[in-house]
Amino acid sequence: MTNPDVIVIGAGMVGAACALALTEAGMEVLVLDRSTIASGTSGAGEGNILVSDKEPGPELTLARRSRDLWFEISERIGGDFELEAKGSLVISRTSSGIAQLRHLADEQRNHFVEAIEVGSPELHDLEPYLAPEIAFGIHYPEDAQCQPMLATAHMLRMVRLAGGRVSEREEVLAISQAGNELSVRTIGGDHTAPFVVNAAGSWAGEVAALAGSALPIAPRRGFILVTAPAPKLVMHKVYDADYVANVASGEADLQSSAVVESTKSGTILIGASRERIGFDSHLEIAILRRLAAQAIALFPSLAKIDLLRAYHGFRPYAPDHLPVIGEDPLCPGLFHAAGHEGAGIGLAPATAELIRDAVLKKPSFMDPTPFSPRRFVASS
Amino acid sequence: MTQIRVILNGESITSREGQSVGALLLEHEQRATRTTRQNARPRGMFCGIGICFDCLITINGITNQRACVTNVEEGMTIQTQQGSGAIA
Amino acid sequence: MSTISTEQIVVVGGGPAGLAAATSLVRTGARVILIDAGERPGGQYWRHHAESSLAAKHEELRIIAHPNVEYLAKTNVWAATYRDGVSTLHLLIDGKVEREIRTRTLILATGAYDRSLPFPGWDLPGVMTAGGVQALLKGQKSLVGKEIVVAGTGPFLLPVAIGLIMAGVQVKAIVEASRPTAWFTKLGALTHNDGKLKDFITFQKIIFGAKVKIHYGSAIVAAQGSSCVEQVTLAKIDRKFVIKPGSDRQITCDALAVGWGFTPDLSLAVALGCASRIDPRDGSLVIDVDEHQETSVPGIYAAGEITGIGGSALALTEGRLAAANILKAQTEDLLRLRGKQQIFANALLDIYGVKNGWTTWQDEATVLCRCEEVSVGDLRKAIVELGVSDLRGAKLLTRAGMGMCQGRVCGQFVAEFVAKESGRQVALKDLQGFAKRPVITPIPLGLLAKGAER
Repeated sequence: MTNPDVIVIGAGMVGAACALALTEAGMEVLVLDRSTIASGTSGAGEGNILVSDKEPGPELTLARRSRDLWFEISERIGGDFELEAKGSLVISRTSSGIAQLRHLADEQRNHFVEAIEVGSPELHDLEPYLAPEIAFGIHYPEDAQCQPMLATAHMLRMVRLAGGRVSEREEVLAISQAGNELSVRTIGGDHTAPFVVNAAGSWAGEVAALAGSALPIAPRRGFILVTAPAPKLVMHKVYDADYVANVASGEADLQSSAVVESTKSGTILIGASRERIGFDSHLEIAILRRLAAQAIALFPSLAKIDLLRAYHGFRPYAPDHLPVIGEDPLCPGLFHAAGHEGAGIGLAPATAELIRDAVLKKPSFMDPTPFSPRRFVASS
Repeated sequence: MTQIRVILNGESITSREGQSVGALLLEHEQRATRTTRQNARPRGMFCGIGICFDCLITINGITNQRACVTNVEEGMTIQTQQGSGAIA
Repeated sequence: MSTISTEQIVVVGGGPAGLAAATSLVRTGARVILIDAGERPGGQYWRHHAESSLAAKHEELRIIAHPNVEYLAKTNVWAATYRDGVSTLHLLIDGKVEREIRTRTLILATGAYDRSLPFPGWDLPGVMTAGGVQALLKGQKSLVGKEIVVAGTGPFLLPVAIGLIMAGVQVKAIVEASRPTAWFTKLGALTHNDGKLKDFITFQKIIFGAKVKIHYGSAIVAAQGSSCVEQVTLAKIDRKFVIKPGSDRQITCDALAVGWGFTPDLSLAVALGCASRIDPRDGSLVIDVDEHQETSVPGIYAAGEITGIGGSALALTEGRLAAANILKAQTEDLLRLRGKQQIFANALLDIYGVKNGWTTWQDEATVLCRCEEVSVGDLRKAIVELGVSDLRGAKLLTRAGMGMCQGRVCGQFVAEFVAKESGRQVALKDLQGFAKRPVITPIPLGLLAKGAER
């Protein structure tokens, strides 16, 4: 392979989507990962492709575009990665929660999100096993899910088919300017390219530092419970309205609210806890108990179903909870695509489109300024 | 040995205290405890000691119980399972 | 709050290693909590029926009645954590009640289960592990079939076959992958355990008397049947386990007992953070212990099969040794005995080694992961099309090892399969990743939500 046009650091979902978009734009791409594909946060999530949890603003614009791109990509590249527009059902039991939820849905509808208020008994037609006392929900039919490791692998398959290269177990050690290009030193040697994309997820701050820049991206730990294969009990992604509040929260303490959904493989996934405690891998039984209790409050039938596995991922977040997408002001040619927190799977294709357009200096579907790294890194 | 009545696939049969569901099924020439979720293949006891989770069966309405390590109890209902089974 | 007891020692596992440790400990007045998944003590080796008189023969089996022993039968450790010198064990008792125990001194003796190799038809009802067939016989007096083939490799196959013969089963054949000549190269080492040698000769006599043929250098490489196994394919294999062309023939039977040695059950030790290594003798992941049976985690000891497959006699010694070290007692004799027993165990593992020619027995449709029905074809596709190059990738992209057994059955051979197909060696990281099971055994969500009794 000749020198690549672009080096993507990180073979997770965002890196794979960027590599695919740049490959499809005719560029020769080299993807580097210090471990293996989808071995970080991409392999430790539910595969959310959501518009329902986004308040109107730049992230919702990104999410809506991304959701459409997901189905276009699936059509284009084939390979089954379990993409499914299953829809979400957001419920609330409290009058204040219901009021907030109604308000959010109204605003979202103004921004072309399909949000349908559902009361009893329609709610239980949509979710027959939902706790009978729950009487209010908003149905978001556009929300979707995929199997993120498979999606990552299939996008990278296309990159390889087009002549791109995916190099696993090749950790980046340094990034430096080399004339008009960037030089990336790895444990395997030196690579140069005019452009480098930092898609290192929770570790994107470290990669930025290698290039003499800085990104305030930190990990937020989230636990997910996986049940034994169960009869189809949950039809949509069902979550408590508190989840939206948690996502937007900056508090370090443990927060959790139930997010329950079935997967194609027959297991039921139960999230979601959020803690800012660095890269701590200790199992917290208290969190498992809390998630289980919250899930059963939504679906009482879950009480008799076995917990099979529990895992955690580190969601990369920026202080203002917006992703970082765009060129680094201190290191021309280095583009960041990171900090998507729990939404990286859903936002990956539109993020890749913004990166592609920024690299090619073309206008994009939206103004990318709100995501610019300049909000954290002042140019020298 | 204490005799126990259990219901196997809707039929009342006799078992003994201390007998595992797996052993009871073998006594009744029933090798498969379930069919698989994807390909509907028959499966029965494999490891026999609770490790492999192949001999899954629905007991008292609860799916995915291991026949090899579950002992019979008076009045227990045992139902061979199709795929993931049904919600009680 | 649960109390932390420094004098109360917790032993997990009621097989020979755990029972021996508990017996040594209570003799000196120590108090022991003995946690056992079985309904009666004994583990796999001393598994017995309710009316059995086995307990009269072994003091270790009677230790559960000692006033200083709290014996928790039918109890699984479903999760465990270690922090600041204290192990917290989350117990699930009889699948119904949760309990939490904390201790500063822990002996892990969680044993092993049959090692399996995949072949076409191995998922048919009636195909069972050799250990499973014996467990049914010893624990339940139950027979998996009337005409049974016993196959695989290892000294364990003969007692299984004899148990079946004694119970009136027609053993259609015993199929042993190794060759008798392998014994002659190890005679020196084998004399370290005369008792086992005598057993072996007695077994041979019984089998000869029952007119059961032992096929050496052979394997059962396929099973056929519709709703359960009806016949199996016997073939001669070379020293690398590759089938000799044209050597195959069918044997009718209604059950197959097949075992390829044993796989240590490390889930609990790994959850507690104990360091592991690949045992070069059989490729198994085992817990690393020092000469005092202590793991890398201070205060946690490991004994028996989880430190490397070695059989019941070695397990007893290791259990006693762990106890002696906790009690700061004399260990010289035990160390000497362990050395001798290890030489014997090494020789057996060498004679009955599994060679990777088994990876040629499958067709594309052969199931590798039984739980998630992942076939050889599925795995190959992931390797070729999606670039899977390690066990983690195989798991995430094919679901192999993601099912209810959490990779206990398929983990090691899927690792070997991926390594062979992608031209790599099985890495320690591969097996360690698979052994990491934060939820060690399933627990109903309703119980989990309720919280533990203290």
